[in-house]
Amino acid sequence: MASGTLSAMTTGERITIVGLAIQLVFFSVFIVTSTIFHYRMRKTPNEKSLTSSRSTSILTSTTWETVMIGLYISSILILIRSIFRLIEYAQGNDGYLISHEVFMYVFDSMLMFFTMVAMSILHPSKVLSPSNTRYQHTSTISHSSNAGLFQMEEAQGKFDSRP
Amino acid sequence: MILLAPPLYAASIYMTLGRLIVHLDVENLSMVPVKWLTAIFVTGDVIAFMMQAAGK
Repeated sequence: MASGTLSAMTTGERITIVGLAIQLVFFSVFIVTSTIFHYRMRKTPNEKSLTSSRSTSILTSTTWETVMIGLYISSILILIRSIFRLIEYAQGNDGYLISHEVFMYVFDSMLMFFTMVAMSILHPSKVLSPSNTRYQHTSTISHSSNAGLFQMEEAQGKFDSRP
Repeated sequence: MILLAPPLYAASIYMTLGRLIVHLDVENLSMVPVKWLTAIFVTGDVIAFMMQAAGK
């Protein structure tokens, strides 16, 4: 909290508000960017985007879309949370939102908690870790030979559950 | 300090999209060139982070 004079406190609040606004702008642009990417990728899938997309469960599948869904969920939760904080600070120190503690828990703590959960369940390392890339390669070979496919996918599922 | 957690999360989310695009070898499909993707968003995020930290 800003200490000292009242004007210094107001300046601090304004800086925070502008900071939150900048964050919101970049975040919105980012969501648009990722949505456009998602759309284009779906339209023109390539070999890598189709790798190991056979699993139907969201918890065990390792497609690139799993990561995208994780990104969307956490993006939207953080977006809501930032909008809430912006309104809270814009209302000032005696505003309705800042003087009612419940809003902070619902619109900040809870949303950030769910962000954490979403990022943990749909962790990017499911697709992006180097060892997993190697595994996908082996998996592709087994797809083409069509032998031991089930064991391969089962093993992959086990692999994914590791941190 | 609780105000500062989301920008850090945001930074990792920005990084993840860049990594995912590189992983899939589809740099041409990105609206923003991947080379600039991390630079632009993380810079904006750092500015937002600093301002929130300074104002708090």
